Amino acid sequence: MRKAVSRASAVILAALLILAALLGGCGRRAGRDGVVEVTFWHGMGGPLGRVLNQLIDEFNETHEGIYVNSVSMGRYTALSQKIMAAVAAGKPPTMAQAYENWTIELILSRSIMPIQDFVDGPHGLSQESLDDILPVFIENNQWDGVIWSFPFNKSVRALYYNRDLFAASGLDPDHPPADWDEYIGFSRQITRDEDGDGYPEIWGTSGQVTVWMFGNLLIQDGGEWLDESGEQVAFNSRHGVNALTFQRDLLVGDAGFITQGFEYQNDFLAGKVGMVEGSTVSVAFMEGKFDFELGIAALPQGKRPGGTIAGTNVVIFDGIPEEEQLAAWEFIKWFTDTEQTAKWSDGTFYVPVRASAMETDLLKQKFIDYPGLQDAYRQLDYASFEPKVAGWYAGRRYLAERAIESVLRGDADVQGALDKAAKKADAEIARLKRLQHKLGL
Amino acid sequence: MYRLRNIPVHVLVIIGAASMILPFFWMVSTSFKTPQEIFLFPPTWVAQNPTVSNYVQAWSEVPFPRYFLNTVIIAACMVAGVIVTSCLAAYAFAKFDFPGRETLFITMLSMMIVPQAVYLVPSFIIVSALGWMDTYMALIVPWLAQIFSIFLLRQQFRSIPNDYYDAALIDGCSRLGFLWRILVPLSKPTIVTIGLFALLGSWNSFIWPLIMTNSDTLRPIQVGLSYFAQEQGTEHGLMMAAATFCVAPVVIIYFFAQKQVIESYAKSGIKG
Amino acid sequence: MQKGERKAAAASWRESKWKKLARGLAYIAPAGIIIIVFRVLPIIAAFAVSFYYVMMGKIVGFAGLSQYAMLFRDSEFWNALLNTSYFVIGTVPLSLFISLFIANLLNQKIKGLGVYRTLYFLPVVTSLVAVAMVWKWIYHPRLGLLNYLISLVGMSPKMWLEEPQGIFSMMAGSAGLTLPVWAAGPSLALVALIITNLWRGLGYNIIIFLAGLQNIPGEYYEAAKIDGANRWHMFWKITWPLISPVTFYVVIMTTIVSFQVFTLVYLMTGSPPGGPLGKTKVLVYYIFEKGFESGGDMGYASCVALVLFGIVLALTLVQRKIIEKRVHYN
Repeated sequence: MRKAVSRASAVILAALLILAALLGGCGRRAGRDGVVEVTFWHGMGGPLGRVLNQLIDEFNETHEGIYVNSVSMGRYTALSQKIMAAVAAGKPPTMAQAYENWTIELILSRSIMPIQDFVDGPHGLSQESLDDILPVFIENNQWDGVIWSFPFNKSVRALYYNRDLFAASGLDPDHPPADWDEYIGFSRQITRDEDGDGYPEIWGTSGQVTVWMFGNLLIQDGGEWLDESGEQVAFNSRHGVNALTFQRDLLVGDAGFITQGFEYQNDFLAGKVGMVEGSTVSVAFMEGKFDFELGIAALPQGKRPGGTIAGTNVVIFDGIPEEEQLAAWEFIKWFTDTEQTAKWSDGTFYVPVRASAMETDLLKQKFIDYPGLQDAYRQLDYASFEPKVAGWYAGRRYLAERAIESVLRGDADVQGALDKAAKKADAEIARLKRLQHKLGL
Repeated sequence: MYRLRNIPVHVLVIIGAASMILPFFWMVSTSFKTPQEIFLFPPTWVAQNPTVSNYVQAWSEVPFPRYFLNTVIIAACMVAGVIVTSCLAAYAFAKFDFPGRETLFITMLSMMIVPQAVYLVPSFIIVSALGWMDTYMALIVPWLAQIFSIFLLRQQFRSIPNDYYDAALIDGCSRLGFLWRILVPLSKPTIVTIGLFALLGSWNSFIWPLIMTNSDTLRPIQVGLSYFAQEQGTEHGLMMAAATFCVAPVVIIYFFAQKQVIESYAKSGIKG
Repeated sequence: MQKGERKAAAASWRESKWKKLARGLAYIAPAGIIIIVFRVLPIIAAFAVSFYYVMMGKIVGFAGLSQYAMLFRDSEFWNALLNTSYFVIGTVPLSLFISLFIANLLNQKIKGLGVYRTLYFLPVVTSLVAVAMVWKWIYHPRLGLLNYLISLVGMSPKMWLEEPQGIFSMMAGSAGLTLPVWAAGPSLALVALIITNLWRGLGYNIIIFLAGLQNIPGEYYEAAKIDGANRWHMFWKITWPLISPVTFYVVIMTTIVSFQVFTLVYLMTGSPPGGPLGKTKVLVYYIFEKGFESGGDMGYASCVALVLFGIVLALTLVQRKIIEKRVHYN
């Protein structure tokens, strides 16, 4: 009896292990002969991931010798972890999405190939084609004049507003706030306490602790992220103080509130908030969840127009067989070509990376269907981006935690908070600079 | 014996027990509420218009069935693996006589005190180098052996007099035979304890699979649940429904085997 | 000894120690290989990599001890250590006393002991992820159960997990005083985590204490009662000394475990975790963040992890020294 039981358990165990091996697989599909496999690690899930996979399927069908294997990590934090593990173990994927502040570290640790090589190579891009790509994206991906990564899913920040609430508050729904004064003025006008309990039910605006919003305001006030040397931060200038003060007055004054994460967008969708900021991509997530007339607009402007882009680029890794690298480059070229980038933008509300894409029928129709979207996209004409210097990864976090969050939670000393964050950010940037020197990177 | 002074004792104990239960009650109660009712404040204790839509939606929005399957596979392998490896190792430590035995044992035991934070990052790299990232191997193999289980089992095996062992060997019993046919049956409670710890450990494990998996198809329950929670941010009804059915299997097993479970933990604590 | 036995004994004695070693290792191997590859090797690797600079997962240069030096000047490390210390100090004594108290109550031979035991232990077997989710919901500032409950006793709603202010300042504030910054105490957010952690872990300590208490022979109490001792006396002179080994175990285990808190912070505080204002950023979360999030600095992360190990080890040894003097072993 015992023997039978132990034999049975051994068999069951073996069966389970086999089942596990079959189901678990080994990560990489066995390559079919003659087909070059490109592993593409990204962080897109949900509706955005679906559009991405549709396009990838289309590429695979039309390009016989190449197979792009789309691996979604679900979110960007997981993506960066996996990239690190892969690089550490010497088993990187062919290509992956990467933010600029990951990219600089990948460059310094010599883990990726400069895209410039592919651009200049035999299957590269003509000057005309390069010029078609929006200049801000090229600059965004250049370090010392060399293009290291390529724009992939980029976005700008837009203002979303509830046209019905505007009308109900005596505001013109066709006239979203054009400057800071109107921004806060309109918010106050919309905010109202309907049942007289002292707490407003309808708010002018809401948001969360975000560096993105601060950055836009900083630039609009005439400030810069970095000083002329490019080695020290300048966000604690008086422009920074103006920006953060405005951010605070707007979001936690008498006309707005902040939430953890994206909860504030839910309140907007429920019709309780007049206007919110968000990536252009937010439209994809908001579809079908609101029943008022949605207005889209460019952000209100400050002393000068300003806005920073967001989103990721793609990099091609070192240590990968050359034919895979070239295949990856083919995919990148195809994906960012006019027709595809228009389709991509159409499906996800990421901005197209080429100027010519804005003229396609597809996007022209989109602009008609979504009034205001084009204004939001036009911000690309004057858009800039956050620092690409090594150390910004941590520096950004100090800014968010020590300055922005602190002020939004009631710290009255705006200059002091910004100075503290700036000191830490500078220290980190300087440390990495010394490290680079010391190690000859 | 009942005396009046037992009443305050009872009251305190009941209050304590109630506060243990309250969160569970709240979890289940919320899971049956409609989104509108959830946003009511002051909140209602029991759902006024109970609905199962949260459960239906949560179950279908993310591949929970797959997560369950993953967890079951991992748990089964882990339980079997831990029992087998612990039996073999504990046997050697308890009954065999070889040079360096005690030193080896103490060294192995001392590994237990090292915080997981220390070996998490390097393990991550080792798993990646082995090519096991995002496969079942990464989730199962590292946990097929448990130092504490070896420790417990060794205690247990040592409590069985060596005379049995010597006698059996003289009678021609193989060493392995002695282990499986005599020691193991005599040590059933301890083995059940080890299996239980492995089962609970694998069901509830979070940090390790969080780091070792990416794909949706491989996630065990807790990781799947955490992703669900982070994505659903504000859909409290959905989240409570998901939490409920992820917790339910363990709670059910626990209620059936409560005595065994509690005694396992209690005894292992005393020995530790 | 009979002939067969003598033969067997002789045979065993004649077996070379190499053969014995080989046999021993063979049996230990299945467990041993796994432990070596996934415990020993990583620990050695952690030591090794702590001496190197790492960027995005790749080693870029030799650092020697400079990352350890950096650690001492790293205010974020000290912040994490402070938060962790608050967490441990908040958890251990409370857990010890509450669980001992309840175990004592349960030990009074009350009806339904088994039921109570089961209920108290239930949170322990529940997954930490589910616990985090439910408690986060309970702590919700606008819709949460806890704010509702405290409103019933006339208290104003609190921000709980989103409140960075220290609890001592908050208490002083309601009395109209202001405390200096260093005396502010742990943030309410951290205290909220402590409460959740207590809720989850009490059951384990309760049943350990219960087992210990039940080992004390009833005669001791009978004798004491005859001598006229009251409950308090009986506790201090009989119970407390006799369960000291158990107390010892509980204190050490609770300390070691609470020092490594991570999941609650990761799931309940957001986004990013460790907030608000870094007031719940504990050591293990800091290690995770350094190693896996900002720039993949695994070298530095390993430094912090090893320092954590050192602290835990030191604490354990110190506690042993202090407590062992007072432990009575039968």
